[in-house]
Amino acid sequence: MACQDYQQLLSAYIDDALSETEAGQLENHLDSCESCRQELGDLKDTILMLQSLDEVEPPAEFHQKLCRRLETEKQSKVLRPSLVNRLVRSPWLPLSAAAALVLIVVVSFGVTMLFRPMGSTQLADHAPAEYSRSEAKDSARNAELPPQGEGDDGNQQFGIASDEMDKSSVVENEQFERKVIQRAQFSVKVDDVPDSEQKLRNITDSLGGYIQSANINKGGNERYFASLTLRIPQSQFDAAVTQIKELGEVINSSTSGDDVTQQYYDTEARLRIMRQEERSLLKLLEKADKMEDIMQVRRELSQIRQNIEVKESELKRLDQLTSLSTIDVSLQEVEVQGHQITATGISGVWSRTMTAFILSTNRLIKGIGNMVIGLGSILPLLLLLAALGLMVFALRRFRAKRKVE
Amino acid sequence: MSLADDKLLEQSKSGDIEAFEQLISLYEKKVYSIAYRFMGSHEDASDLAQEAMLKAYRAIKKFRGDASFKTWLYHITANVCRDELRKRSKRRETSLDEPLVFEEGEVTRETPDWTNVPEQVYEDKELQDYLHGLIQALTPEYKMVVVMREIQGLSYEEISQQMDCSLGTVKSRLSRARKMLKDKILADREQSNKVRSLKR
Ligand SMILES: [Zn+2]
Repeated sequence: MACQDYQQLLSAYIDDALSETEAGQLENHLDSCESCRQELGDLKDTILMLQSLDEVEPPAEFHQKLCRRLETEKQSKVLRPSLVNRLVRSPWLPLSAAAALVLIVVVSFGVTMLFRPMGSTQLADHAPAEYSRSEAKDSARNAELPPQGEGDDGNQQFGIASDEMDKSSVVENEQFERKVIQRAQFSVKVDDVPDSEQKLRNITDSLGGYIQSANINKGGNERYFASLTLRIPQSQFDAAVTQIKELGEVINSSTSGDDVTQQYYDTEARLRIMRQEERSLLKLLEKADKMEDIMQVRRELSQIRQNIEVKESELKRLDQLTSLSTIDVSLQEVEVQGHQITATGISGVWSRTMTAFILSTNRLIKGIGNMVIGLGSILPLLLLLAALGLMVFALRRFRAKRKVE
Repeated sequence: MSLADDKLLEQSKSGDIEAFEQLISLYEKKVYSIAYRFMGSHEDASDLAQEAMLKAYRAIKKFRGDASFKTWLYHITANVCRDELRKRSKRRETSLDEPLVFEEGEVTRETPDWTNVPEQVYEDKELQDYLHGLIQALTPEYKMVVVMREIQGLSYEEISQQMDCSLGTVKSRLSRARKMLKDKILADREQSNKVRSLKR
């Protein structure tokens, strides 16, 4: 080995981190090599110098700042409404998860089996089912939200897990109203558009909402059409939907709910923390007498006030969006089939008889169709029940058999 | 750790923030020092030392007492600084303004110009600043090894765990970093001797 190779071992040698053989070889060499001994001495000096580095005094405001951050941390912990946590701890979770599963299976089966082009009423009838499915998805998404804690250093040695946030201090029993931005859209075929528009206004009034915009027009074919945007209080949303459907034949509908609960309460909590910080800064400002300190606090104060404004407007926007649901309704006038078929004389009578026959036949077919669809949508449930029944039956027989033996 | 500290620890675990503040005030200076040696500036040291203590506060319920609280706290500090240094060096490498890519095995970035190494080397504040500057001139991976070993006094095993690298890597990195520091100190000393003799 050359001197260079030995010199590479010196660092570990100083730390007693060489194997016995390596250390022995090195010591033999050191006995006979002046320059490597010199190198060892210099390295030791360097290490000593580094180790003699003093501890450093933190700046004066360090402790105070730290305490403030800790307070803030504690506040945010207490105020943060951990929906996930509540869900997870709820004894109902397994049950509701099972229920959601069954619901999803049934609904998705039902929807796939639904013969869509068959009639527009079915579409309307199934709209609520689709809605509840999207709701189920929503809550599933909520449950998957990552925990609030910050990721950590993977220091398993000391058992620091990734979700440090201590959630147990979350105030229990506090009621958190769900915040959902609810939207719906309906296209309805009605006999008389102006009449229906009036009805719509009455509905909106009676539910405590207002008309955000309304347009009524007459098309080229002498038929009216209208589009209205209603703002209905969140609590009256379902009632409004029901009454809108009664106006006529719903040919198209969609509803969506954007759950912003977490976002809402997070914003609220942050706002509270910032207001508290603002207060403590104000107190600090009273105490400060050095110009430099005063300027510093002022700067921080104006920064925090800006942030407060941003959060306030965000909260206001969310409040507006969630307190009133938005419903877009478009009204079209029905093409009255009777008019087109109506003819005079005997042929007229004949055709009217035929129309009646066709109509009643249609109704019959529709009725059968509905039955099939109804059956289809509960089929998975029936299968499920049958499977369960079979299992119970099999189990009993198995037990009985064992007893006999 | 004294009995009083144990009590503070228990209180902290139950969420008593004042107890926690009292507890860490015992270690604040050391935590700050470690962060300062890692990060180089007082500003960064303030931020990261606080970050480390916040992390400790969040995790205190999970602290099982396998190690002393002190050791545990210093480990968190090193972790926080390590992450920050790595984040920064990544940013630097991908930054367009600085297309500089370190050569394989290069130990230092720019080395500070210290033609005036103080004579009274062992007690001066100047020496402290000088050494601090030398450490900061190391590339992040080398700097971390040096701080963990010489400032924190961690073992090779502990360093390899914290750095997530092999024992061999720790050994060779430490060896090269120390040699670089030594060479630089010797060179600067010679330089300043020359300057001094010229002045005379
Ligand atoms: Zn030699």
